[in-house]
Amino acid sequence: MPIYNFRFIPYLYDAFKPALVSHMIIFDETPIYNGMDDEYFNKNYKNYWLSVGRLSQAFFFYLVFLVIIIIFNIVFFVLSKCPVGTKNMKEWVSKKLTQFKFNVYIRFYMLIYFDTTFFAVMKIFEGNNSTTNRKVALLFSYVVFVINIVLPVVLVVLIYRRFDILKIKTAKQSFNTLLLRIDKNSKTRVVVPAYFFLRRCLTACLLTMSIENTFIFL
Amino acid sequence: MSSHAFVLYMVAIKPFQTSGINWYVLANETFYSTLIIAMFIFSDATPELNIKFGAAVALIAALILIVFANLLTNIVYMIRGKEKLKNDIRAQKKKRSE
Repeated sequence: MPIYNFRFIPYLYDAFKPALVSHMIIFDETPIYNGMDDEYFNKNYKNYWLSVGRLSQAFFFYLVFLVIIIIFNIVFFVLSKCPVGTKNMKEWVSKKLTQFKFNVYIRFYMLIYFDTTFFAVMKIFEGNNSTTNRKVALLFSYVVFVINIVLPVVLVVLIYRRFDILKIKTAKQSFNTLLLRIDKNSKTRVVVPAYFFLRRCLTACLLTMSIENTFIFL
Repeated sequence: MSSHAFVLYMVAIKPFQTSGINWYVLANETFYSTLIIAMFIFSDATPELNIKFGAAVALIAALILIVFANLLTNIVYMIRGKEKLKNDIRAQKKKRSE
């Protein structure tokens, strides 16, 4: 991460450029809108050749993934309503459909949580709101940031309050992804999913600090 | 800091279902903490070249260890399979209730 003003790491990062595909920065020049390709959050991001345009490619692909998930959800819903197929197939379809209520969406949210928080905080702290587009982006950033504070709290409180009944397999299947392999003997285990969100939120906020900031060591 | 707190929490509470998963998460978190400290020292925190070199060695070692811990866990769980993991969870539950 371009936080400590490394002089060597950017070159290593460039050497591993093919790995950029894994975090969905696929094109050197952003297709459709390349107006942000020469904009950088700060000089550290410039050292890494990570322009706002290139980072936004990752953001765009997250939306593509969400659309794919919704399409799969619709397909499984339609299949569950169709009066065709064997009993085994119907069981398999209904088992998969329960995953969409809400495990798949929670897991997707967990995966994009850091990036959306980071983008939102970066935009809020950037300060350049001269055009209408930038003002709209700022508004969206505030909305996303507030959601990213409120939603994890809601999820954690929800599983904390339901913790006792979550020992039952059918009761926990909607929130399984938050409690993956966690021992259900004590409510204090809720710390694990809470820490998942807290750490990412803190890191996203710390990444907005400039290199001269006293609290950068945090 | 939050990472160090989580390491302490992991050691004290052992929140996962089997000791294997607890060890895996603990190892990941410990190497990650080492990585963060080494990253900070390796950067512009100090101009001393010897210290930077030591931090670089720690950084690369921590990175290799993270990859190794993840690979090892994946391979072990792949070989052991779903049933043995379930048996482990059952055994651990029984042990805790006793």
